[in-house]
Amino acid sequence: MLKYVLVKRIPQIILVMFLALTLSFYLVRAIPGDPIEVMLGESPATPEMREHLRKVLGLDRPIHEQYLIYIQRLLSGDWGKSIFMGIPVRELIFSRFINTLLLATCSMILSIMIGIPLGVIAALKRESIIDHIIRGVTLFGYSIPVFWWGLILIYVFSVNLKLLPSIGFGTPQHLILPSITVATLVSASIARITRISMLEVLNQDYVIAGKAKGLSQYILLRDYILRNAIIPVVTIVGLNFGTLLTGSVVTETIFAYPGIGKLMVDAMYMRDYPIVTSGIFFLALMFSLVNLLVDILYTYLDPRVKLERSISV
Amino acid sequence: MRIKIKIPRLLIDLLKECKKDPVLTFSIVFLGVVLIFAIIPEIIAPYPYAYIDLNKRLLPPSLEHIFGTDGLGRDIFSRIVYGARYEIFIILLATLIGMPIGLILGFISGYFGGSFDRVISLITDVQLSFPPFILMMIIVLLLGPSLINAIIAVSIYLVPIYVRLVRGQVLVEREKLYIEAAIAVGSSSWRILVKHILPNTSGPLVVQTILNSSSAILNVAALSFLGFGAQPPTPEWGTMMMEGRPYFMTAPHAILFPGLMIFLLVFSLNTIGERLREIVDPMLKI
Repeated sequence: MLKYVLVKRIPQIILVMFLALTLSFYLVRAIPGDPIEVMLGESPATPEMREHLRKVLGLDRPIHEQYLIYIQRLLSGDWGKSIFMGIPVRELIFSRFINTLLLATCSMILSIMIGIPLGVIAALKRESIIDHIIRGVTLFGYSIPVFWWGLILIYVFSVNLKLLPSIGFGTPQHLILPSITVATLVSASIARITRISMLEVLNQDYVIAGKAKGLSQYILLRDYILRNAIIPVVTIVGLNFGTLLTGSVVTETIFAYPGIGKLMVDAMYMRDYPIVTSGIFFLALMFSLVNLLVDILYTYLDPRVKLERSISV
Repeated sequence: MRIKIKIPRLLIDLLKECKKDPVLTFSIVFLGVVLIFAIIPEIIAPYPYAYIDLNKRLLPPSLEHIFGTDGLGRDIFSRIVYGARYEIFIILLATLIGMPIGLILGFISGYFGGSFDRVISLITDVQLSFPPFILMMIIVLLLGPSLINAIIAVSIYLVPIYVRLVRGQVLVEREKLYIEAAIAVGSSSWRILVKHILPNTSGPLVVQTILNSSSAILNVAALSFLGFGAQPPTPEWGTMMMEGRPYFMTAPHAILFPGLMIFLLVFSLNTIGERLREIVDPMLKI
């Protein structure tokens, strides 16, 4: 399997990264408007001044030349400098990414704590009223528009009850509302996959055999059912975590949370090219690596799965 | 083994399910209400959607204005009724753009395999590696913020989902004897797609289309909410929420009702999609 990862997956990730980087470089620069316009706006700057700024930022060169310079620097570890903040992009991205990682981890812990028990209970009580209620709640969870849900939580808990801070960052309390907002969606998808996976395992012969041989409900659940049913859940948790790492743009915007999603959106408004291009590169890399890890973990947890096969179909 | 599923048959099965499933009944009724709103808003809405009355700004819900009024004194319920048209438009256009592209690419990829498959898979991989919302924002900024461009952005985001579904289905169907027979009697690839593979994958495709529609509604609304979609004074529900946001602390109803409508519409589409999925693939229900 190691050979498969080294020979097939890693080169593929490098190719995808290169294409994503190139595409984002050209797409972002094709957006109408440039940083000079944003910076100077309607100010009475002379054309000479504009030209000068362009030269300083290296925007006067042909775009393909800019691209080559950018790639060269990126390979040597220089991700460029933010046009507006003057800070090296790598530092900026890393410091914001830590915040996103924090939010993603909190949301994921919360989602697992809610989602897995709900899924297990629904499956054990299948077709009962409890099952129907849990499935209804699950559908609610992933139909909710996050921007609406986030605002409602702010209104109820910060404006009305004055229990929690609404926006910003710094104390653990600031993490609660954004985490709940994100976890509502993620726990629903975890609960759903847990339920389906449990039902599949419950129908297996070895579970029926275990029951026939008189094992207690607890042992049966712990050693026979959960152990096998949890495998697809791990995959979904991993994939969701990968998505969360790329920043919940909407949630971060609503709560003015200084994560990587908010950084990217702000940079896009300002046409801060280095942040957007390097940011997309970084996020795409994170996403691909998490996916690779999930695939490897999957074969490790379930030795019946051959990595080569599970991916090619 | 896959049984041939025809779309009308699917709908009859769905309606039969309603008897024992109140949530599904609610979803179908709600979808019907939104459709009626979209068809005859002039009859249902008590006020014109653009009627501004600055003396009646931000009124809370009352008998006169059941959902209250917004920052310009417009009746929110009337705007929601007219806005239904835009939501239906989003569903139709996103499906019309995303599905054919995904269908054709997925078919080529799965049926011909080889280098076609590799190129198309590479393109989908690159696209999926982009953070989805950032990708949609870049596309909207490239084309200019408007409702149509937001729908185009969301449709592009949805294409890989269709491609993967169709490709998987084609890979399964391709190995079957009836396709071999069709090739043997000299059917063209186009004929095999339209006459053989499409009817046999219609079930999962219908399900995915409904689930993608709900995703389109959510994403277009989110783009509009951030100012990247329909522009004011369009009564699109996401745009209404954007307009209500400045008054949100004092007049939450200006955001509550449009958001609730988006939520219920998405919920209805998801419920219908899920139930259809269970009919198409009974293994899921067990």
